[in-house]
Amino acid sequence: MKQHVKALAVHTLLVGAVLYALYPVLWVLTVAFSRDGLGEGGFVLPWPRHMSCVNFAIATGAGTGKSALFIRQLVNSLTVSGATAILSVAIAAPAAYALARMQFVGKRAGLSGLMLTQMFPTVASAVPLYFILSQLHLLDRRAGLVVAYSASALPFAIFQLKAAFEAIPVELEEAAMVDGATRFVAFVSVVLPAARPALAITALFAFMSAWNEFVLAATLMSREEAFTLPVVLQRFVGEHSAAWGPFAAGSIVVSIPVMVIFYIAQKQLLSGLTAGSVKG
Amino acid sequence: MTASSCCEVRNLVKAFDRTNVLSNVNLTMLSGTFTVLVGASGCGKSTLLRTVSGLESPTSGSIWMGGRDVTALPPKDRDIAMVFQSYALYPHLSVRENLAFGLRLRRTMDAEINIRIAEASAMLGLAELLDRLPRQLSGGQRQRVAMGRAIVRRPHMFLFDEPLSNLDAALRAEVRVDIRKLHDRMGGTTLYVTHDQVEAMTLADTLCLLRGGTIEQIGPPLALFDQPVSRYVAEFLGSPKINCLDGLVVHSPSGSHIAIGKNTLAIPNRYGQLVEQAVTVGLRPHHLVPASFDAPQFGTILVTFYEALGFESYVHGTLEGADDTTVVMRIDPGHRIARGESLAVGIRAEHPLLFDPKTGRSLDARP
Ligand SMILES: Nc1ncnc2c1ncn2[C@@H]1O[C@H](COP(=O)(O)OP(=O)(O)O)[C@@H](O)[C@H]1O
Ligand SMILES: [Mg+2]
Repeated sequence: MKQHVKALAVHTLLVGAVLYALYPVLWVLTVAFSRDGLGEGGFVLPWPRHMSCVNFAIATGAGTGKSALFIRQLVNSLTVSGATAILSVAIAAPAAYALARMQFVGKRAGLSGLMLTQMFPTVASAVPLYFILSQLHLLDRRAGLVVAYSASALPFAIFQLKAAFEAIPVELEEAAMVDGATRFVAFVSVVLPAARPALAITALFAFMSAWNEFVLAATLMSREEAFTLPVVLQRFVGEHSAAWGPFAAGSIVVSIPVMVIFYIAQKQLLSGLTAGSVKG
Repeated sequence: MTASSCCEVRNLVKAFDRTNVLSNVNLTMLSGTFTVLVGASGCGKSTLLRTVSGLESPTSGSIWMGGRDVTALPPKDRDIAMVFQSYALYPHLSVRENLAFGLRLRRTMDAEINIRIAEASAMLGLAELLDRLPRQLSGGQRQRVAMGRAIVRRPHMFLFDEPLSNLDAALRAEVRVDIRKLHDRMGGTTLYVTHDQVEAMTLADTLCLLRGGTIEQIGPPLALFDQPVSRYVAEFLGSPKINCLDGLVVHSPSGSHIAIGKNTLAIPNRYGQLVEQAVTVGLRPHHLVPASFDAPQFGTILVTFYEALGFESYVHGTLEGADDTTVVMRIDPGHRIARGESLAVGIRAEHPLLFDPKTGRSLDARP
């Protein structure tokens, strides 16, 4: 009986917390699905008075004959974020492995240097990045954004993977090396698979940071065809007008790929793959 | 190097941060033999094993296998397999793929891999486990997979680093026997590390006792047990531990003997002529027996504690007239003994071991 009361209390609390977290989202949904945008909805409990998808049509360009452009921008976001995720993990993994397992001159200095780069906001590097990428003829090109995003995602990715590799027992690699592997083969065929959850989280983090990034994207991309979605979204609430309806609809569209990825990756993220490899 | 030696460690020195963990170790393992490295925790057993495997490189000295200097070779080129204390199973691979891993790296044909896996899983009872992941196995099952991974490779040499220390006592005794059977069946050469003296005594053809990075004594297990070169070896092997008593060699007109407090003991023949000196007398629990014609009374023990294990019993007590030194003796389970009782004990003349009290070295005159 006492347990039931306790469970009830806990669940009430949890439902409350969920409502608290979802309330703003409910507003976004209401605005997005309302014909007249922000003007609609109850004061306390938001709900669209005139259900409509017109805002989605505007946001995706379907209503303005610009859907090809929107798809192009969506693809920009996906490729830039995907490439950032892959590139930063591909570079961070070997670096993190070396930092986790090997002793070499300059290791401490290197780690401090990485830490140092984390202390400056990305905006601070916008101007130098603009010049560098312009010299490399990478302005207005997705590759340019990928380079910039990967560079800024790397320090955190390296720290995260370093911690993950350190948590993997050295014996696993040693067993592989006795079994016939070189150090590199052991890294690829034992360490990386054992670190899969951490690799997934790191990739996801890099993906998300690229997906959400606005300042660099707005600075480095000037052609509409090169825009990523955050820049597209921002245009709905520009200086002169504030089209909140399309903006809300657009932000929902932008969230969908992220939700899908989280859904697919959740098993990877939650599983403790190394459990059971050593000891009983 | 003789024709039948499989592995040889020559003048091995290994230092970490300038402190020697191993100093000048020499060890020869003959083909097909089972060598056990035993010693207290931290004495360098694992380091020696890992140097043989190639996972550590020596500071100086060399490792030879099959007549070749392999000191510079990486582990993968040494034709060895190793079973780790933590088992180190690949967490993302099924049992089958764990077994196949080393064979695939060596480009073994699939058909051959299947044969070897079938053979090893029959030997170790892994057949139903082949499709499971390591985390779905019990400790004992993981241990067997780790052994299977070594067996399928058919290496010239098996290395074990405390493979039983994560198992419970009953399983440990069982797997211990299995390991020895496997060794005899596979015909490889085995180097086995343990800190457990029972494992060491029962498994070894050659027992190598390490102390502080040097070999204290090496030989057949019973030789170490019966003729230890030092008090350290005598105390390390045997459970309960050997009794060590302070004695004094006395020469008098009526003959020579060893005095332990007020008690006296004949000098065993093999110690030859000893000058009058202080000695440490080592008496194993089974050397002390109730006094009889064969074992004339040597002293009296005041019983403080009595342990009956069923198949044998141990009497703990203090030796009267010798500063009440505590001793442990083994007796047959038939005896009923109570605390507070006095027990006349005897010793057969050949039994005591004598050590120099200062150096701890055996005073046995024979080489
Ligand atoms: N990689 C290492 N770096 C520094 N010291 C080490 C290292 N490995 C072992 N040692 C030291 O060497 C000594 C022997 O270690 P080890 O061979 O593991 O002992 P055992 O296996 O006999 O318990 C210990 O004092 C240990 O601290
Ligand atoms: Mg050890």
